[in-house]
Amino acid sequence: MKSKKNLITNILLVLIGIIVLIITYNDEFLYKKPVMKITKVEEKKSYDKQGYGSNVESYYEQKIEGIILNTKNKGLVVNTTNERSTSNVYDENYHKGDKVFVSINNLKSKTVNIINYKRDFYVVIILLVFIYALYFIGKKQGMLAIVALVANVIVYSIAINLFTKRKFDLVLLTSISTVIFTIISLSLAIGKNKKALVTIISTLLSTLVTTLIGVLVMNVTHESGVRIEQIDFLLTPYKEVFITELLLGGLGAIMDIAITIASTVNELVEKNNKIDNKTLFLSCREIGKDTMGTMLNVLLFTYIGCEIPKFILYYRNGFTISTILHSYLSIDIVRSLVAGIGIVLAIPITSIISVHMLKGGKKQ
Amino acid sequence: MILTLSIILFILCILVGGSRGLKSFIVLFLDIAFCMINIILIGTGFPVVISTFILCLILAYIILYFVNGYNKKTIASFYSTVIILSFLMLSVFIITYLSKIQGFGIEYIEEIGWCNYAININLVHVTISSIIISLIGSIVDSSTAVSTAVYEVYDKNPQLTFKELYKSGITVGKDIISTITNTLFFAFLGGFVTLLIWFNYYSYDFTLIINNKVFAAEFISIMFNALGSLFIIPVTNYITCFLLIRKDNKFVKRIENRIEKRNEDE
Repeated sequence: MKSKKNLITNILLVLIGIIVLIITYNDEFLYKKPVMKITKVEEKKSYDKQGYGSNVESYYEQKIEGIILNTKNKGLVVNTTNERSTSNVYDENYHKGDKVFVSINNLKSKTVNIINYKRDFYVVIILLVFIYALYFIGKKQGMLAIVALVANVIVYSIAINLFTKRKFDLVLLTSISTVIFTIISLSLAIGKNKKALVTIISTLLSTLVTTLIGVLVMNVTHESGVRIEQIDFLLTPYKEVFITELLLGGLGAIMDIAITIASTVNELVEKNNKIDNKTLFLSCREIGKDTMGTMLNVLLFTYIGCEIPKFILYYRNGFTISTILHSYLSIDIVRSLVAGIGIVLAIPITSIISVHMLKGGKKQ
Repeated sequence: MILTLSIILFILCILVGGSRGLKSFIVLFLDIAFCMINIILIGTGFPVVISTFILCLILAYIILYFVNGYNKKTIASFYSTVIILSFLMLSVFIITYLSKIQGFGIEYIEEIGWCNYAININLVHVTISSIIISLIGSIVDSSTAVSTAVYEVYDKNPQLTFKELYKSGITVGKDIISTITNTLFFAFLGGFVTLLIWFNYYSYDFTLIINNKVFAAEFISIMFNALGSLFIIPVTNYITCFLLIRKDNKFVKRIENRIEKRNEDE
């Protein structure tokens, strides 16, 4: 029976997931660096640190004892110290049972230094939940989405590698990657048919126009009012990186709109191939109005959300809201505005291309 | 530069969207204003988690009711958002605490190395707040897509039963999955090109990246974004079908009265 087969498949999948998790939790044997499991933590308050203005915070010293789980020192009982604060801005609060990477300081006195917390287990848990969610809610489309994501990750890793190691032009690499991403993601999502072609062309055209507008405004206004050099982790000249980010940021949203509009036009034409252009365009406009409201916000929140811890730190270090807004938040606002322009432009562009290519002929 | 781009977006919104476009444009700036208010509140010691939760409810309220009106579609989306938001707040708290992704990693040294870290605000809560705020837009969007699509199907076929309507909702959900994953993937990619360049430049190997605090924080952030958007699909589907079909339920009747009254006043 079909439902019995489904049940068995689902149970099997859950079992595989549990096995993967157990292996990941005990995967110290895969690492060359020593991993220590903490067995005892003794904590004592060491001092009060004066922060900016009237902020005061307690700092604690932790005496930690642990046991090494891998490498040739397996089984060795070692100890170390750790300083932690109540806010944990730049430090960690360790507990019994935590696993950490260490480096041996002195083998005779059995002391080590903690390098980093071992997080791979949690990354894997949430990745598994994501894959399961895609499978149970999306079935085949969910799995295709994963294939597209994996393919895109590989493509862009190669592109970044070519940029840093072989000094290829970043904007050129990203533009080529964008074309590849669009073709991969949309073909997998829609299939190899005329609808896919329509969405691919619409997406690429909208992205091109949007990025050109962004670059044009950037050059004409000489980036006034925005401090692009404040991007996090900047290692290379900022202009090309920022153009890259503008190019990529709105791509997903533009694809979304292209798919929605092209699908609807396709459905309408299929149900009634005598439908006139004016009705089609009106429908497209309605869909556009519906999606515009919520779509514009998606990117803004994604960008602002990531920066909130940094802004809080700055605010508590005496920065005014005005400074935060002008020097740091301005970058995210620009990214969101350009992506927003892309989203709004994609509506008419996709409508025109869909109507011209999908009407007149039984497609598919 | 911001002014020029805003004007361009403003003109486009009105041309393409009319009055709804104008409202969408205004909401964008309301979002920024509310986020700033949230930062001030947190920065002056207000409980972080409560502040964020209330902020998200206000934002969802504005995005749904102000722009798209007060009707069964937006009501279904709002209720779904509240449910999923509560569920997410708990999950994000647990994972953030366990994986120790609060605060900043070494890669942030240039941006924050000169700051005084004694700020007396629990960064675990702040990190939860940042993840929740980053996903509110995405889950509302996902929910709206489902509720409007289910409504359209019901509108053209009012004879459908609950089970049949729910089934078509599932199909709609499957269709939007690829758009959700794509939008999120590229939004995050577009924000972290520099981090990828950093990882590549300093030749981080795979094991280093997967345990890295900054990478883990971003990755977990994207994942919760995606999970929220995915889980809200069946929830919205169910609530929309319920509101549309179970007309004899007293709860649904109360909602229909409220809609009539609200739209009468306008």
